[in-house]
Amino acid sequence: MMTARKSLHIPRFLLYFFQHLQAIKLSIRQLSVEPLSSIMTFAVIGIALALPMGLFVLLQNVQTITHGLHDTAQISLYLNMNVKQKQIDNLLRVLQKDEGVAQVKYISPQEALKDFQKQSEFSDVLTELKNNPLPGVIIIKPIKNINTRAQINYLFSRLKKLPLINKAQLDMAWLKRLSAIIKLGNRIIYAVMALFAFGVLLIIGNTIRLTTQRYQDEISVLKFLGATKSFIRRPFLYSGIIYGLVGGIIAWLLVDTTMWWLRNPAEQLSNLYGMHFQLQGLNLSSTLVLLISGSLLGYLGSWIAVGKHHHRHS
Amino acid sequence: MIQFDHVTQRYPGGQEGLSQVSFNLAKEEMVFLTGHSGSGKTTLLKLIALLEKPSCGTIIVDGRNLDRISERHIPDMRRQIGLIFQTPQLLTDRSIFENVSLPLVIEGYRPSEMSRRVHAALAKVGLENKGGLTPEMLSCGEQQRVGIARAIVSKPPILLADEPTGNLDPELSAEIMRLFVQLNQVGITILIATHDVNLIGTLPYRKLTLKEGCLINEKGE
Repeated sequence: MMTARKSLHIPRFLLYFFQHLQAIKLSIRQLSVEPLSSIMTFAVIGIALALPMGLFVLLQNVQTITHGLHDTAQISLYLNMNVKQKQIDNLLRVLQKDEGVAQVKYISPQEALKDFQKQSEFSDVLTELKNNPLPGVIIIKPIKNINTRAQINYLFSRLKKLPLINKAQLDMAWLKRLSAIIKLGNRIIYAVMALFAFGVLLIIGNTIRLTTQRYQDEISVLKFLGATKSFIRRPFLYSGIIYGLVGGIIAWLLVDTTMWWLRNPAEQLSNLYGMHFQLQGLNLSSTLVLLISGSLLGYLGSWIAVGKHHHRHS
Repeated sequence: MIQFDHVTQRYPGGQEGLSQVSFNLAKEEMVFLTGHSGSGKTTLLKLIALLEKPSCGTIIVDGRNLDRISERHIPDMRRQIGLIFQTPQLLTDRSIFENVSLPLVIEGYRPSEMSRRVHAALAKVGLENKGGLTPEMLSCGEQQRVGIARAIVSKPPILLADEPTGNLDPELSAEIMRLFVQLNQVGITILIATHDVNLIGTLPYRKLTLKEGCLINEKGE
């Protein structure tokens, strides 16, 4: 008798997939009952997810630019006066062998004076000078791997201790300020993200709450027929996941389209500052995070809404 | 099959839906539950179907004390009972086939078995060619028959019907009653709540009469 009954039913391991497949079909049917309303909800969720994601991508781009700026950092080493050329050549050799140094450029006192005369309004006065007051300068460009503030600072303090160096200079104040602004921007974006995520949760929760009200008769019939809570809840959970997932896809499209639209002007602007910079959209991992977060928010919102519905009607 | 022992159902405010009701319903028996509107017929059916819990007393269905059934096992118990309502409560966005197959979908039947059973149930109620239609395309009598097909498709041992002919004309009502008699003949225990005494007057089945929540008459015929 038991074997005969078993053969009538789908095997338990297949039943799980079968019932989930049916729940997905049912949730798609629920969403297609009022297509315009569903599309509007998708759009609202998409925009709500796109705003913080767009800001996040912009901030990532700003961080890329600052990394680039670290790459262009230079250290100026001012030599003592009256240093012999042989000593300078030795120092240049030492610097060229240094593992943190990519490029070494020596500007002699004569070259420095010539440049100064070119740029200064007092070129006549400068020609009258008996002795050249300018020291020789060595300009150091760090290797690409040295791109953080701490690494550059370490290299700077190491080089400044070398013999023949009278003074060393590294202007990092503006980089520090930029770094602080980015840190603050990061915090603001995370706060905005949390706020918008909560908003998405409320939108999906409310949409599913209205859906459960619309399907109240069906829920009652299923209960009378012996459906379990999870059987009744499942299609609504999938609806929530679909809302979040499609919203995430819309957000991804909005962010990437906007980045594509801004790419040329941003490139032109960076060229004007002598940099080569290309605005980046969402990368694969960020896109996956966006889609998974959207789906999870949808799941959570609908879980809360359906749970409340069960509680109210139990 | 169904046993009520001094069952009382008290609602908030102190009003009693049922008062000290006791009766037995044997396996494969068909019984009519009569009484005026508000006499407690629907309350009694809801208690059997675990849609309500009694304030006191014991209800035993198919050997199981309903008071001891946990919330988690209520759906299992409900699947043992076919429910038929005055309005058939069909899902209007589904076909007749889909409506009738719902209990089998819930139980996880194989699609081939599901199809066989749904067609058999529809044939039993005389609607074998209407599976592809939607409920709105059917008459009231046909919709009620779909409701019966849905209730019997999983072959439950018990069938509860609450005013199943309430919205039907006398001719259709008699037709539905003939259907219940046929179902009882194949071994289903049936309890039908109705206030239409004329309809059941000539039928040779036991009648339980409720008045203001009390069982005032139990006579076998």
